[in-house]
Amino acid sequence: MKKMITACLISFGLLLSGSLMAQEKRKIDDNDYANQSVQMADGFRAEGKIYVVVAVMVALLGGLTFYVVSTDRKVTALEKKVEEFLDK
Amino acid sequence: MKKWWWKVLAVALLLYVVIAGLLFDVPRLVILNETIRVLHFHVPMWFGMILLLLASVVYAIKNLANPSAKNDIFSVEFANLGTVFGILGIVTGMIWANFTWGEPWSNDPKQNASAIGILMYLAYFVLRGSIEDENTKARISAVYNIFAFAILIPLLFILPRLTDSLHPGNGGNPGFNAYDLDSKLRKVFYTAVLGWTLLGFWIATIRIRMRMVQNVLEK
Repeated sequence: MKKMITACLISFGLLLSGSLMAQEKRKIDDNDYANQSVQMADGFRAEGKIYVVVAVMVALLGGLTFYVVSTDRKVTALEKKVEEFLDK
Repeated sequence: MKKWWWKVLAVALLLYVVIAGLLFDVPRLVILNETIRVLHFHVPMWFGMILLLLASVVYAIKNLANPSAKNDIFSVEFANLGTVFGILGIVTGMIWANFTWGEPWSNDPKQNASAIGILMYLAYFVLRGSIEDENTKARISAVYNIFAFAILIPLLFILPRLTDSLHPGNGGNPGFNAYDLDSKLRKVFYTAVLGWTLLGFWIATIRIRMRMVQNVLEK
């Protein structure tokens, strides 16, 4: 398990370094952040409705996390049962 | 739950990604507009898929060197989750493409290649299902797994770069590819990659443990 996590972190680092060597591209600068000629959902944000979307997505993430955690615990309980059974 | 710190980390990172991904300032770019935020949700699926399939192929090699039910279960369940991530990547990509490229499927080289990649892994499961004997199944599917991964890498990372593609970093097109991600976007994006990948590994390990219990019970 520990080896696996280390391997994941190493490959993650490799992928990162790979993406850093990408081809020539235009840098995104402050002008892009200030460019008012491009339409964005400004009104939507100004009205505070974006928080509804954030709340929905956080709720979804929370619910799914709860489900995954409870599944994880069930498997742990099963593993314990099997171990006890094997010990007998 | 044993060794839970990385699972907490996964959830915390994803929470940050959902909030920051939707609320933080993003560059105002033509064509992309507000959909630039999809970057934090679509692209990590592919990173997650590659890492899960890499784990799968590592266990396939291990299984050939050292045949065991454990190595086989690890290999197949990582491939399973990798395929799920790949399918999610294709679906989210099609929704995004419908807005930015005008149609969900434009036969973009990378789109086609990833579809072929997913089909290769679906064939892996068909192959496994068609062999009765456990040892033969483990050995043949491990060999197939290695070939599938060896073909997947050029399919996704080399071939699309040899031709014009709508995807970033491949050929010339006024989409995302003209831009280099800046540090503000990177901060959320790399967190997203790590968070989604850890979630993928978490779910995969749950399934692996389930299969291990099943394996013991069958004996």
